[in-house]
Amino acid sequence: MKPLHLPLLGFLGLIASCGNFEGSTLIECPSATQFAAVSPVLEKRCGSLDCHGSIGRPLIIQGQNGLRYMDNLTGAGGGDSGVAATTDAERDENRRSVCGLEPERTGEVVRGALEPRDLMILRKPLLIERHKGGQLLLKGGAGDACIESWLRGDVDTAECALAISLP
Amino acid sequence: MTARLFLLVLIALTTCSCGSPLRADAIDSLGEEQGELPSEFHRPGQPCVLCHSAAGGVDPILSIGGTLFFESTDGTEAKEALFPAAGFAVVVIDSEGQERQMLSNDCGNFYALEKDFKPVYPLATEIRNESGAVTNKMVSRIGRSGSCGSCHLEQKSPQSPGVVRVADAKPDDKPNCPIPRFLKP
Repeated sequence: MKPLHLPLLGFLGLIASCGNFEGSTLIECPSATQFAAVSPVLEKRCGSLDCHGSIGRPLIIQGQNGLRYMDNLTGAGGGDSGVAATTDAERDENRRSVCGLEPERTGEVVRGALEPRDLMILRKPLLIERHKGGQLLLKGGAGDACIESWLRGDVDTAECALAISLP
Repeated sequence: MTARLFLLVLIALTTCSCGSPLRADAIDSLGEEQGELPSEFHRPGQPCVLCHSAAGGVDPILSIGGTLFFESTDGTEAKEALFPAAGFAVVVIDSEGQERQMLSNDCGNFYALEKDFKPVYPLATEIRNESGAVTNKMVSRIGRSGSCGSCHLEQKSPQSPGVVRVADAKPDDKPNCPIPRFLKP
């Protein structure tokens, strides 16, 4: 093959490899209903305005005492930080952000192919992996048990409630 | 050999000369010094540690810094109407149980020097008055920023709970302090 053909073939290959980005991609994510018990734990431990309550982070946690949700298109929401209670829209966004952090691996956890602690959402706050914000959950503690149980599909609401009550 | 040396010197110079453009832009946005030379009363409302840090390059290096204001009683949020809250203790407790009290000065500013207090984040915070009663308790934790002014901006918004306002009686006379300026959201 003439060397001249290589760039041409590469270019054609590039075009052929471009997928259709329209439409939506389904991500396997644990229960939205059960996440109502988990969201306050994430809001308290991770969602301060100087950490994941910031729009510049890959994981964004929104809620009453942190960043408030605002719809980019309609401008809906957008209340002041520290005022009204966390909304359903903010909880939905938090769940979307948690599962969107590592979508493929989260799906594998849902299917039982990986353990919850294989995900960054636990590895970072447990400091199994480097975390700028330091250790925010104790291994085996209430917050750890709350998030892990939700990822396994059977949230432990008592552990979640305990995690919220701890200082 | 000469080429390698040249490359090393070039890399060293490039590394030394590059600060964070984001930090530089943020500092530029805070404007010029108002009035006198910098002191512990200057730049109320601004994110202290942005400059007073190793990366910011301004001594003294602070670990925590911020400004307290009284609650607005006239209903206005104008910067000129912000009344500095002096004589309050800002108490910070870090994740290892270290506690630090910082007293707000006449312009409401308070701070801790990094050489005296290097907290382990996250931090819990409350404000106490002269008699030791708690006037304010921060609901959320401070996760990583020693500058109160990086989150507590002038106006409440989806990204800020507003300035730190002490819920206590304010004195009659307003001290002569620089007009507070804040980081832009």
